[in-house]
Parts: sequence; structure tokens; C-alpha cells
Amino acid sequence: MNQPRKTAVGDLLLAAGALIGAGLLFWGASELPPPRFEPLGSAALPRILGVCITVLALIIAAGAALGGKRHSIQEPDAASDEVAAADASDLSAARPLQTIAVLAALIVYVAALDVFRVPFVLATTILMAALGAFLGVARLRTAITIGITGVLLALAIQFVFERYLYVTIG
Amino acid sequence: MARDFRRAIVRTVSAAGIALAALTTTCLPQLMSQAQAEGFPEKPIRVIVPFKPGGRTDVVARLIADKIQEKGWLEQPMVIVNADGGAGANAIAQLQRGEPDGYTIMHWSHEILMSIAMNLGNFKLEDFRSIGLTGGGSPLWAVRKDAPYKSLEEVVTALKEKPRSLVEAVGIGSIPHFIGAMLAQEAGFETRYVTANSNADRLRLLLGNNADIALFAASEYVTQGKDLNAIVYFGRERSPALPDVPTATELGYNVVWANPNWWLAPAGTPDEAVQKIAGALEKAINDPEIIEYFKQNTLDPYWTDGETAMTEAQETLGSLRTVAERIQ
Amino acid sequence: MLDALLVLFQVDNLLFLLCGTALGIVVGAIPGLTASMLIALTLPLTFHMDPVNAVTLLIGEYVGGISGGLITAILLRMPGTPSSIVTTFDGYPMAQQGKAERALALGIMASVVGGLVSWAFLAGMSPTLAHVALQFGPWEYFALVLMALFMLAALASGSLVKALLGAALGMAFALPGIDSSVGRDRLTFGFDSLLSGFGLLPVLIGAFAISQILREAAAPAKATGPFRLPDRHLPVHVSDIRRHGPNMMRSSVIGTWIGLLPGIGGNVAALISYSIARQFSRNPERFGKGEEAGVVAGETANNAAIGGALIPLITMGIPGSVTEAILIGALTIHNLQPGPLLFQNSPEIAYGIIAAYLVANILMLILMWSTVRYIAAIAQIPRAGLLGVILVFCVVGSFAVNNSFFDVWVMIAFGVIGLCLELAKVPLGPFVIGFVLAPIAEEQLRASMMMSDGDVTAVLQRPFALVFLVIAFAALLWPAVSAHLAKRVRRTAE
Repeated sequence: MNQPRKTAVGDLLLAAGALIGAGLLFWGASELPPPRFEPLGSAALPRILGVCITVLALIIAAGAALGGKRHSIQEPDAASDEVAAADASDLSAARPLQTIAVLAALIVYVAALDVFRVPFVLATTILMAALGAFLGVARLRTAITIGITGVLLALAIQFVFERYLYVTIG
Repeated sequence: MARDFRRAIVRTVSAAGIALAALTTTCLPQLMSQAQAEGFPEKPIRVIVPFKPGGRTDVVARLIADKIQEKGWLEQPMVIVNADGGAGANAIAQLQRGEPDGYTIMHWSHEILMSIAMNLGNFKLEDFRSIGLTGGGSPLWAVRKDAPYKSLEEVVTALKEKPRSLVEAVGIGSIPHFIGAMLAQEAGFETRYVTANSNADRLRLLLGNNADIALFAASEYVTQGKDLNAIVYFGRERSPALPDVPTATELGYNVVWANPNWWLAPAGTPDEAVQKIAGALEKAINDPEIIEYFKQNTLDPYWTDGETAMTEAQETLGSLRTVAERIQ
Repeated sequence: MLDALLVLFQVDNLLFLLCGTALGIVVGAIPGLTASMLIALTLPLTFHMDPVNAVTLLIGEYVGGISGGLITAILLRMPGTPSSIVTTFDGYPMAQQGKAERALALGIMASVVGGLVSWAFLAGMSPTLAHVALQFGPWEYFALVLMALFMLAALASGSLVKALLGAALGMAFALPGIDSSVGRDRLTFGFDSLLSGFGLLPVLIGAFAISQILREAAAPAKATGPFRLPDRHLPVHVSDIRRHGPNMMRSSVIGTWIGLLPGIGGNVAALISYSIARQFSRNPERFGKGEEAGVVAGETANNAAIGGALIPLITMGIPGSVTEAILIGALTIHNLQPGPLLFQNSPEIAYGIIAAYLVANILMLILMWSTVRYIAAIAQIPRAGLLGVILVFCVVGSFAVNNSFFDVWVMIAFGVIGLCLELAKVPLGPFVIGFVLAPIAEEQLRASMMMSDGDVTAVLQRPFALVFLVIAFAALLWPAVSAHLAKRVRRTAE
């Protein structure tokens, strides 16, 4: 896929997401009681934002649908303006699997702590080892080093939080 | 890529295995020790406070927990856990997370009744077992010292001559709003409001001439009220620290609000645990040092047992519900 | 005052101050852990201390915590604390251009200057300033925040439409929860956990730290070169004082003033002085791409805001933020209430706070300046380990704020949202700014309308508010006007 096409698809997805958000705002606002103590009321800002988001999303969607030509003019400008963002999208294109793996590991980790009440030290160690494996240089030693860092880190955090700060994690 | 991943998994498993081995050695002794003890309490009791640290509810809980530990009235310490957020919803979620075994209790005030009356959060009084009240305090209404009116009577007259001519700093739907509304109903006046969701906001708006009337805890008034003038106290009797401020009842308005320090456990907590904690709390509130602190901070030290506290709460909730219906 | 300074130089107080500052810097630098969390968590420890010790420890943590945030903001594009958001805008690009040490040095310098200037205000004219700040009512707050919002709209780089969409989305995410103007839930869709809304900390950690970690994960593994310590001599010169002096002074004053207003904190101070620095700059187009003035403005203002916030705290007992509310809690447990009587009843505490603030700033300078070389080396730690450690801290930090896992899930969700927005080229700056400022603007506008019985013209009687509104609209229209003027100048030249 070439760059302008990809931007256009991204823009359409963004517009779609924003429209769903705007829909939620309108839905939520419709259930609020009328103003009681001042003329604006709780529903005013959600409605205003809903309208703004809808309009902006439609502009973006229209721009993306009308397509390539205007983009090819705007693109160099926008790209140079947001060095970090642009290079981020290139990077994700490089190894998107790693991003997904890290995200999945994070979700499993928090779910383990929250839902399954896995002990903090155990969960943290496994998380660190997993991350080491996903991201590390291709060596077993690195993974082990990082796993051990995980144990030490987790023990240290748990010790400080429970002994001194009376916070039990999990 | 696929081979990378397979290798990654093998590495994870092996690293985790090593870590596990290290862990079992550290965790086993803990498990053993938990199986031995007997009689409540066998482990620290967590006291959940539904605010960030530093407020009255938090400070009182910490003082009392400290005193109980110092004197050894419970075999295990009481540990304060702050769980701010969601009009108490977060704290209640924490309270109900484990078994109702008495090892997780809560310290709150009659603000819990406000949350129930306003239908915020999905809880009701029946979800709780009341342990008891360790004293409480009442608020007062203050105006600026340089204001033209010096007493509640003058304020009421001014408001009756020109309705809605004075601004009251309140957080809509919070205690100041409810007390103000009760007084307004009794005396038959009406004020305008301005949003002020904390004591700091009320003080700032009042001193800055952006509001004319605001509610303060008596202790706040004593320390911060240099340029303020208290016009009415909402306690049952006059506060010893403020002998010159009349109560609302004296002035002929039936508005009393004594916000207690209320200790709660989840419904279904065994009698043994509740009685044990209540016993320790009662001793603590009768301790001279605690009494001294309460008096200095214009709080009344007293002990009310769990059942009486619950009956009182039900009555108060009834009257709050009527106010809630009116102001919504 | 002098007595208080002398008291402070007793070994135990100095030691507590040093511990607090050092701890603050470390915690502030770790994304996920913030100054206010540190203070909240260590508060129970201070209950058994001597009150002066307790205060020095907490002030040290406060100053260190706000200052430490710049480290990770610059090196990793993860603000260590909310006050350092704007530091990521220019600090990280600088680091990417190989000027990490200079960015750090400038940030430290700016922090100290901000701290010292606001200390001068704190020590010299507390009562006067507090009195003026009190005159600010809902209209003034609203106008001020609106001004900040409009000025920041001018910050949008790249596509204006996307920046506006980002801001609107940020504002929308601030809506769920208890509507503070009427005390009722709104847009919670029946979820009790949403009653307190999306917390500032989980949202910020998610949008900046988590999304950055996810992005970094995708980066191809860099071959880490041999470990290298930066040069001993830091790349700042005397000429920097001339170059950044006016900016620092301006940002210090803005920071102090914003800090003075209860309810608006260091993050807003940094945002406002950043956008003003951009308005004053001769090359505003370089902001967001590694402009030194951006780092200086933000870091000066967020430190200055601490001194500002201490003014209403000690003169009137009005806390400016959660952090100050906790400081008040620390004093109440020792039976000391900050307020007008504090100077009479316990001067050693009142002056102790002022003196501790001064010394904490100096200690912060010494600590950070002497370790900055090692700090800069953080970027060289193997990525897999570093990201893992930060991830764990983010989870623990989000959890520890309120002991709630809901906050952790919010953090993860905003990490994904942040990543998606960046992939769609929606800048995160306006998103976060909308999220932070919109609730203040809405609450204050509604409070104003409540106060005036729905009469908008009441604002005409509020001179401060009017001035802010005029500046706000001028800032909004300025780009168009200046373009028009430039055209005319060109035409006459031809």
C-alpha cells in the first residue's frame, strides 16, 4: 500500500471512531435531566462536543474520500511537522506483532492481578521474562537476566508498598 | 517472524521456570504461618477510607487506629487504606471485594447517606453492618466579618426583603447544599448558589467577595475564620469552642446535622468480629489523648453502638430523601 | 525567617529535606509514579515525626517530584509527572537530535530559576498576592482557562482539523463521571466505576507512557553500542542566561500566578507559559520540533507553580491542589492548621515551609546537576529491561493512586487510544490539553451563570475576566490578522 492510500484509510477509520464517540455523547446527553440551577445544564457541553466532533470527523472523512491529489500536496508538510508521529507509524509498520504482543502481555498481567488474584511477585516476574523474550536480543541469557530483574523489582516494590506504605497490590 | 516467536516462547517459559523455583522458597513459609493462628483478629484489619489522606475522616481513623495499636486493644494492627473516587463507589467496591470476615471495614460519615439519597453508586444501607460511631462534629454558617448583616436573623430579613439577593457557596447535591436547603425551607427564604465543591473553594469564594454565605466545619472556622463571622451552628447544643454562636434550634429552626465518624463492615460480618472491633473503638474514643484532640478540633467525642447508629442513620436518610426530592 | 533557616540547618531537618528531594526526583522521574502519590503514600510515616521534620520531608518530595519529571519526558517522551507534559513536546525531539544533555541541563536550570523566583514571591509578598488572587471568582477562572485553550489552539501543528478533533475528543473523555456542577452522574452508562470519571493520572500515563512503550516495542532492536558516559562539561553557557533569561522570568511569573490560583496546578501553568512563549517567540514554527525555549518555558513554570501554590496554603490555609491538601493533612495531624493564625501560633512551621522550599530547590539543583551525566545514560539501558520496568511501575502507580484496578484498565485503554491517535496523525498535545482544561472551564462557566442567575452580561463588571477574554479572542484571531497584515506590507513594498 502506498503512503497516501494508507493515510486515507487511517483517516476514514479515525472519522468512523470519532463518529461513534459523538453518537455516544448524544445518547448519554439525551438521558440527562434538564438544567436546574443554571441555564446551561449537564447536557450542553456533551451536545456541543458531539456536534464539533461530528463536523470535524466529516471533514476528515471527506478529505480522505476525495483522496490522493490533495494529500500529495499536503503530505510533505504534515509529515515534516510531526516527525515523531510519522516515524512512529513507520516503526509500527516495521514490527506490529511486537506491539500486539506487548499489549497482550500487559492485559494478561493486569487481568492476572485483578481477576485471578495471582501474587504480585509471580505475575511481575513472568511479565518481565515475557517482555524480555519479545523484545530482547536473541539470547537466553538476556531473558534470564531480565526475569531476575523482574523478581528483584517485584520484591522491592512489594516490600516498600506493604511494609511502609500499607498498600497491598492485588 | 514465526520462528522468532516460537523461540521467544521457549525463552519465556524457561526464564519463568527459574523465577518460579526462586519464588516457592520465599512464599512457602508465609503460607505455613497463616494456617496456625486462631481467634479474631489473626491478621491486620484493613480500614478503608473513601478519601485521599489528610481529611477529617482519614485523620480520625488514623488516630484511633494508632491508639488501639499502642494500647494493644486488638491483637493485630488496623491499617488505613485510602480509596478515593466515585462518591464512595471505589471504597465500597474494595469493601465488598473479599469475604465479609471483619478484616476489611470502612470508616466514613453520614456522607454515605448523601450518596444513597442522591442515588449515586449502587449501594444501600442494607449492604452494611454498623460497628458504631466514634464521635462527630457539626458545621456552621459563616459570613464575611465586614458584611452588613451580623446574625442569621439579619440574613433572613435581608433575603425576605430581596429574595435571591445573596449568594451561597455550595456543592450542589452535597452536605452544604442539603443543610442550606433544610434551613431555607424552615425559615422560608431563597438564596442563589455558586459551585464550591470543597472547603477551600468555599473559603476562597467567601473571602473574595464572590459569595456571601458558606458552610464550614467548626474546626475550619476556628483556624481559618479570621475574617469571617459565624452566624449559626448546626449542632444539637452550642459548641464549647464557640460559646457565642447560637444553634439553629435555639433560633427556632429545626435543623440539626451532627456528622458522625461511622465505622462500617460489610453485611454478613460475624458478630464476634464486630464486637471485638467495637470494643476496641469504644476504649479508644474514651482515651484522654483522643478526647483532647477531638475537643481541640471542635469534634464531640462520644460512643454510639452499632444498632443505635444504624437506627439514627435510617431516620436521617429518610429526611435527606425528602430534601433530595425537593431540590432535584 | 533567619531563625527558620537556622532551624533548617539542624542535621535532622537537612537530612529529611535531602531524603525528600532525592526520593522526589527518583519517583518524579519514573513514569507512573508522581509527586502527589509519593506525598500521599509517605504521609502516614510523618505522623510520628516532629512537625518540622515532617514538613521538610514533604516539601522536599514535592519540589523533587515536580523537577524529576523532566528526565523521562526528555529522554523517553514519557512525562514522569503530569506537570512535565509540555517538556515532551520539545525535550524529546531535542534528545532525538542528539542534544539530550543540553535539554536536561536547560530543564534543570529552568526548574531552579522558576523555583527561586517563585520563592522570592512567596517570601516577599505572600499576603498581597494572596489577597489579589482571592478576587478571582468563577468568571475570572473561566476567562483565564478559555484564554489558555484558545492560545493552545494556535499550537496546533500539522493539520488544524485533526488538532481540533484531538482537542474535542480529549474534552469528551473528561465528561463522564459526577458532573461537579450539579453533583449527579453523567455519561457513565450505568458503570459505577466511572462515577469519578477517567482519572488524570491513568489517562496521562496511558496516553504518553503506555502508548510510547507500545510504539517502542515495534522499533527494530537497536544494536546497543558500548556504554558511554556523556562529557563532564554540560553544554550550557553564560550566554544562555541572556538567550533564555526573559523567557525564564516571564514563565516564572506566569507559573507563580497560576500556582497561586487554587484548583489550577503545575500542568496548566506549564501549558500556558509554553503557549505564551510560543506567541512571543520569533520562530514559533520551531516549537514542537526541539525548540529550547519550549523546554525552558514549561520547566520554569511548573516549578514556579509550587511556590505560587504554597502562598494561599500558608497565608489562608487554602490548598491549591491535591498535593497541598495532603500537606494540610500532615499539619492537622500535628494539631497545626495552616491559615492566618499559623504565623502567630507556630511561626517555626510557617517560616519553616518557606525556608524549606528555598533549600529544597538548591538541593534539587545540586542533586540533579551532579548526576545528570548518569541520568542521561538511562537512554542506553537495554530497551527490553527498561520498558518492562517502566511498565510495571505504570501499573503499580495507577493502582496505588486509589487502590483501584479500574484505574489500571483505564490506563491501558488510553495507551491504545493514544497509539491509535498518533497513527492517525492526531497530535496528543491538544488531546491532553482538552482533557485537562475543559472540565475547569465548564464548571467555572456554569458556576458563573449560577451566580449571576443566568445573566451573561455580568461579566462586563469583571475587569480581570474581560481582559482575559480580549486576549483570548486576540490570540484566536491573531494568525489571520498577521497573515493579512503581512500581505498588505508586501503589497505596499511592491
